[in-house]
Amino acid sequence: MESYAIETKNVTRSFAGSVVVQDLNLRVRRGSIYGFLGRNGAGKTTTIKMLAGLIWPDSGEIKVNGVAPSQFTVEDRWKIGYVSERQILNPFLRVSALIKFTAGFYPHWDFAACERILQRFKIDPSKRIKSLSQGTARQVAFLLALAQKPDVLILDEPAANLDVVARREFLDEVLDLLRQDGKTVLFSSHILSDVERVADEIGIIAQGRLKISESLDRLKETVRKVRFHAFEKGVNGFVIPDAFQFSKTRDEVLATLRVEDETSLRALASSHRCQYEIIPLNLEDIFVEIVREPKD
Amino acid sequence: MNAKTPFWPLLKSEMSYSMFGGKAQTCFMLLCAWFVAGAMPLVLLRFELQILFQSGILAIVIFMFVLWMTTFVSMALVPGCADLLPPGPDSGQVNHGLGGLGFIFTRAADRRIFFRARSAAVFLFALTPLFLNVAASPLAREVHTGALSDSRYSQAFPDMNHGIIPYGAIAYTGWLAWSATALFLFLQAYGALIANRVKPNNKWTGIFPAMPLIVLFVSFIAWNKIIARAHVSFGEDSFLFFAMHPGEMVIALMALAVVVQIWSERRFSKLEIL
Repeated sequence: MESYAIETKNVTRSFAGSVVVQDLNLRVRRGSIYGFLGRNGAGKTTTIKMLAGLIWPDSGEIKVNGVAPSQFTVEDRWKIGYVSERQILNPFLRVSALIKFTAGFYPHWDFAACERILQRFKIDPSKRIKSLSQGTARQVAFLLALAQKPDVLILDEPAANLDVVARREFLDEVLDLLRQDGKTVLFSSHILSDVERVADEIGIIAQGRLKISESLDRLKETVRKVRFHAFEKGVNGFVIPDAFQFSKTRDEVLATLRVEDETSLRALASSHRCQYEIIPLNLEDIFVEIVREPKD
Repeated sequence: MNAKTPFWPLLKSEMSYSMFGGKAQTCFMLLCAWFVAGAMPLVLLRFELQILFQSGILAIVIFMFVLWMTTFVSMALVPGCADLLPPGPDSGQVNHGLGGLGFIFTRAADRRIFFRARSAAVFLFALTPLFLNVAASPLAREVHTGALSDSRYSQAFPDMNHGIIPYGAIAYTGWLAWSATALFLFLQAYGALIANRVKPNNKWTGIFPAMPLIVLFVSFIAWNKIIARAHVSFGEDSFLFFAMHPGEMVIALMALAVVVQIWSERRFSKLEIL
């Protein structure tokens, strides 16, 4: 079995001549919960749709569970759950009828999980989809994705339209799913506290390119905002090419960069006759620093 | 293990009134079907083929039928067209549009089987009245040829006697059902051909439903200007040809249906859901 549940190689996709995803190399380890972050229009949904086999890449390769989405068979689909950003469910069906209809496609449908999630989210199965609130309809969509017992679960903005409690319950469900061996979850989100709570790996996409893809712990440990302050001559000529953000005034440089080990930072500071100060960053700060357009 | 997608639940789901956006729209669709259905013009025209073929009413029936079928097929089989409908919980956009298809396309359902179920549902809704009319046609009155009794009619209907065709209604309703099925197959193939190009919120999206009508309209004009001078009546000639070769025509139509269905299913399975 391949070690990556999701793998893309140099995937590019354009719409009407504008490149939305460019040379995307994404790797999601089997058994991980991968938080896929990016601003609106960064290419998250396009990437997720390509993973789900709803659209095709212009170039590059995609493999989900070892199979290209364009080659998915019905058996491959058994193992891949998906909830879209704006999941549209048949509004005229009752929840119970929708569950029955969807269960017909899956030989290993988990009716016990259905029951458990219905109770957990307090969803009345006799109600029609159109009478449900947006948040509850979304919970039904989760239920349908979870009850098929997928190996890989792809969720596009899963917490959208959910209140705080429902969001927390959903995250608990995801964690429960992960506790079963070999499950992989990729989800996009704008709510960084959720990502921080659940994800163990993070990918950050900006302008269609993957800027970061690594474990959450490593990201939080190594991405730092550093203020360099010159002792005497100013900071002319001070450049850090790999910095995520870089700005300077006459005496001061402010940079967001990866600091693997503080020795290199010390060496950098002393070579420019500066002292430095590390400013702590939480995930939200890191995200903003990475995706923000650099200031002039 | 070769997993099969269950066809009947899909067909049942597609046949539910909800697929057309609610009871009102479904009733309207069915009313239209019955209005243009096979025997109706014949009843109105007192079972006289001369009036049917020479009064111009056939052209009106064809126009209405093409308008109705094009709307029907484009909304059901070209998801980008369904997105033309205003959004809302009762809108056909919900089920037929690209968003609605996103759900079924990401389940463990073979898209080709899904397309088969959907096209079968459209076929049943749109054409069942015509086939019911074929079934009921043996009970209909005799058909008169009026002043059209030439040798071609004698060839097509050897039992014809003094311009009266016994069971002529069978040939007439069969011909209409055959033509409507051929039209359905043509529209289905046309829809499958362009479905991937019809994007929602695009100024060209509305062209699809209009295009067959435009083609038909231009054809009628061309027909009147050029071909009519040669004293060819397309409706009458095709009716007589069908009456003379009913078995061959039905076999040809079935072969066409198989080819169109396989081709359309393949195209549909590659449809992108934006």
